Amino acid sequence: MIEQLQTLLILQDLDILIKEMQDKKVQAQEKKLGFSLGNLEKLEKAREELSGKIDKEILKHYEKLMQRYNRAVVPVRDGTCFGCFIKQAAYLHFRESDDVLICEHCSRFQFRIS
Amino acid sequence: LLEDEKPQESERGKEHMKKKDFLSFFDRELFIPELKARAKNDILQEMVNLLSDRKKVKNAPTTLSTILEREKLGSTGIGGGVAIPHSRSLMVDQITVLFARSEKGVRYNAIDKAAVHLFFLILAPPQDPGNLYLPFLGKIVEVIKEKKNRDKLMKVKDYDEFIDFMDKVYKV
Repeated sequence: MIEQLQTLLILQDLDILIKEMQDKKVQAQEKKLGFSLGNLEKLEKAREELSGKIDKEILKHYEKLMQRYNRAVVPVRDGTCFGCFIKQAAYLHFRESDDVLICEHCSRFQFRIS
Repeated sequence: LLEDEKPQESERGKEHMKKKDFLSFFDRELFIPELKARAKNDILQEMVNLLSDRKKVKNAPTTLSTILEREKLGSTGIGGGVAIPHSRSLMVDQITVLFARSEKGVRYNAIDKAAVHLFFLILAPPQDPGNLYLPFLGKIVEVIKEKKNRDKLMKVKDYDEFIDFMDKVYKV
């Protein structure tokens, strides 16, 4: 998998983790079950470091997608985008110069699964 | 993973989990009677490798990274020789549970600093937050907080014995 896309996938999962851990109810439940929870700043710092590894244009597009949808990076299987579920006529590159693919309909980043 | 599709988790969505739902999350293919790895990160890697080999996760490096990030927040080694690494992740379509064991034990930075022998790796998709994922986590904790249950889990010979035991030990 392309490095930028791999980093985006990790960032997306990290964003989900941060969002969940910001929920006071979830925090309380985890603590009640016996899990020790440190400072969320550790995760935010990790996010900052990870974001720094991503091309600025790609990151900007990712942030925009995350505001609009629940996820910015989705699988594509047999040409169907698993974000908008529309079959694509062709694979669209985010930029002509790179191999990062986006959906031609919803513009989410895509990773292929078989 | 499908955005507009209600996940299995929400179809079952109830505060109090039925026994059959609880048991259904375990998977014969995700059972490691004796881990080969001896260090925390290697153990997590070994478990993720199995998830990947069994095609239970979309992307192994992302899955491992998510689990490791969760560990940064606080060790999931909850004491008594048990660790429950867990997180939500888009890399799974449904609640995915892997059971693993290490007879020798592993240093895991657990809260009681004791070696960890029993592992329940739990991943859940982000949809329906807190619906069944946390209740399931709670049920696991309920089972393993009793020493006699932990002792029994150390002795189960195979998956059939494991699931029979989980069946017997489940309390409503």
